[in-house]
Amino acid sequence: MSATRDPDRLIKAFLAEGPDELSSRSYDAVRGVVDHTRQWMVVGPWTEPQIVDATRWVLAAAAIVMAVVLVIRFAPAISVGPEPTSSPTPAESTSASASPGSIPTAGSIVPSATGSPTGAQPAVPLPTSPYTLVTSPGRYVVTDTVTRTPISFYLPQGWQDMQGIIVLGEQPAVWDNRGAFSTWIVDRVFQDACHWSGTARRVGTASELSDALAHQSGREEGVPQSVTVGGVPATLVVLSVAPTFDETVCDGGILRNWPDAAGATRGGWRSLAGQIDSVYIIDSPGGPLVITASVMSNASQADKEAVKAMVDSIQIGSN
Amino acid sequence: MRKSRVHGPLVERARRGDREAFDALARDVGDQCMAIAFRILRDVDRADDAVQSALISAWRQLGALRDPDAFEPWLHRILTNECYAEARRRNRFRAEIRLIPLAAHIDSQDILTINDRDQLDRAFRRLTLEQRAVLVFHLYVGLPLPEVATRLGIPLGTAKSRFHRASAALRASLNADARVSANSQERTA
Repeated sequence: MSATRDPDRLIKAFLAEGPDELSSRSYDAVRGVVDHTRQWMVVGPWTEPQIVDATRWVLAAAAIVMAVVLVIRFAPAISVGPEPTSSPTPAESTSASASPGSIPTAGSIVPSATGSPTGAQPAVPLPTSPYTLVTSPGRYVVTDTVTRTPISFYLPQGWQDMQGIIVLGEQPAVWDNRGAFSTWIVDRVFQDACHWSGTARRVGTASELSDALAHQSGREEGVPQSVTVGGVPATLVVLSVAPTFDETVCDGGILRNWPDAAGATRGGWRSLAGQIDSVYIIDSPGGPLVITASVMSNASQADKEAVKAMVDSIQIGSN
Repeated sequence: MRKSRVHGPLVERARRGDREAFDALARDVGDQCMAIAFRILRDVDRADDAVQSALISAWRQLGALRDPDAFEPWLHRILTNECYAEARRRNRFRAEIRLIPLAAHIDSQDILTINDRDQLDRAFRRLTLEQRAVLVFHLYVGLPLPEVATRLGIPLGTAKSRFHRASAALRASLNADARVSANSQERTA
């Protein structure tokens, strides 16, 4: 085995890869919270009590006496004989009662080796790691575990899969790239995209979602339009944010359209100043199925066309 | 990666409620926290959330830190717990992402081939979060295992055992490289 195949060296090289910078936006978000968060009062410092041996014996004796008293006091309550048959306990379930929330529908993503913008074929495997450049253009399909509705699209060179969000560019963070494409099941949306804290409300259908997004406060209003995407009827709402918009005034320093699955404080789909999101909403059995195609307002014509070409290549329900 | 910085004076000021000092402190340690969190979680957004949560928790709890010079190990323990929480919180709902290897593309200038990277990534994601944390602090941050154990609040024997299992799994994935690559070729045919 040559030196370059030394497993330890390979493992270290693997661990060395990846981002090692926190974005300035994240620092600002922390600062935003810290500015409104008080530190916990600490009474102390806490120290272990010094217990002398004699005290230990006294405490031990007291504990024994207390135990004896409790046994005597409650002895009649202890039943003797066969154990009662316990009623079956339902198995713990998190998925049945819990709402799945808004989730990127990144499931299995597989491309076609010879795919074209108009063809859909099953495929050779795609490497997905946090920053995987798509090196072979082709038709890819996203299937998710909620809707089981395959969405396929043609992915040209220069895009990469970033854990379910397809981005145009090679930067390690979604938002540092030139365009983005993602698919979601959305069941909650913020009434106010800027002051979003505590404003998430549930939506059950595509029309409820499109209406909620169109009238979302804290951003420019969108107008729902009836369109066809991937061969099925859809509603398009264009969400745009003015390039001069100051996100730092928003909760957590970010503009959020909908929360993520866990309702975390920062997940879900967010927008930057100058971002234009074309949000395509389709009714599906699992809830409103959402496809986002995003560019910045100052994107080059080529980048805008690249994102539009992605949308034009979508096929829904065919694999 | 190992860089140990002295944060004592900033910590002292931040403990007294100085937000500017905490901001400076956060900016001093944030990048390292992001690097660690990403390597445990293998997800930029989750890592970002975990770091933010850790920094905010650190601000809230700073008064409980008795030794200002122990800020970094203390923060790392908070960060690791936030990584665990972040992963578990979202795992309940997250759609499953299947990782599939690419047909071989080998760059001879690179230590890692695409296949190496993919096999290691798959194997790493199969490790428990606790195993990942030990591996990251030992091999990436560069701490000796006794220090890793202290930093994570676990017995040394547990740290050793987690490291042994994790590294064995990663090594095995590299050994399986040829076999998986062959299977991959078969699937693509």
